[in-house]
Amino acid sequence: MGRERVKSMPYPSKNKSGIVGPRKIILLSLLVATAMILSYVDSMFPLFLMVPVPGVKLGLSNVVVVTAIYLFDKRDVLLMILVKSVLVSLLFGSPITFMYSLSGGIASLTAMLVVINLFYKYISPIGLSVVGAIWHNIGQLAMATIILGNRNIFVYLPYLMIIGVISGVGVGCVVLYLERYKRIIIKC
Amino acid sequence: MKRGDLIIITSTLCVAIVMMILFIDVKGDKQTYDVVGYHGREEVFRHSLVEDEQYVFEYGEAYNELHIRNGEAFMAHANCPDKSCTYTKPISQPGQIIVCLPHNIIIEVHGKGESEIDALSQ
Repeated sequence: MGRERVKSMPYPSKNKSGIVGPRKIILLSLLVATAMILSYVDSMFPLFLMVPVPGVKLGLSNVVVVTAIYLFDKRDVLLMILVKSVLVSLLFGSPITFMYSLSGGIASLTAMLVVINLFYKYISPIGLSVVGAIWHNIGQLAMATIILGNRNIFVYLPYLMIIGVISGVGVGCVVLYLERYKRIIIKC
Repeated sequence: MKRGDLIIITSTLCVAIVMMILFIDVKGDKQTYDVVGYHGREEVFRHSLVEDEQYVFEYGEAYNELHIRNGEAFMAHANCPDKSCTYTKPISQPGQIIVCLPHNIIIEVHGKGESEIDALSQ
């Protein structure tokens, strides 16, 4: 039974990690800080040299979001994403970056929550992060369609989806690796 | 890695490939094409694809230089942080676009006279 618990990450509906009170706030803010650094590294990585598609990103900060989905309640994760979008845009971006990051974040969070609530028995963090990456792209393209008033921008979706699958698998592996240290994370 | 993950990954790749095939455009006569530049939703530039031309988009700090050479349009210079528009391949077919997200600029190839955006926004 203990082995089973390690193999498939359980997804109880409430209070998954048992972290409450100030410790929850501290852990959430640490996750936000990690996500900010990861998105900064993300913006420095010259992926667009290899794939010249607007908005192409590794999506490293998805590691934090997927981990948070397994640790916390959906409200806490939503709050984390909002804080992260605001802070990242204030520090490294512009109001336009904020709108793109917010739409992508909310779309990917919604998709991941739907998927994990429906299929948590059949899915590991790898599949979950792939879903998150793809819906992040779809959300951003939808926002670009609204801002630019041009649907043709969706021609980039297939390329973004393929990149999303590759980076999503990588992100999922990182989250699986973090799962080993879940007990330490929860106890500290 | 569970079975659900494999289903997600394979279905995503299949959808991506199908979309790629759907988005491939039929090649046509270049004489009838216009290069159209938008800043936000507003059309700011329109020029025939077969005549060479140079156009500078300047909005505050934003600077993008569009060139039309030998029936192809490409972004020669930009001062945006990621510069992905200058790395986009030159465009020459309807439906192909160059996008500069930080500066809100889109370059498109259109058939002459037609303006899909105007029809949509009306």
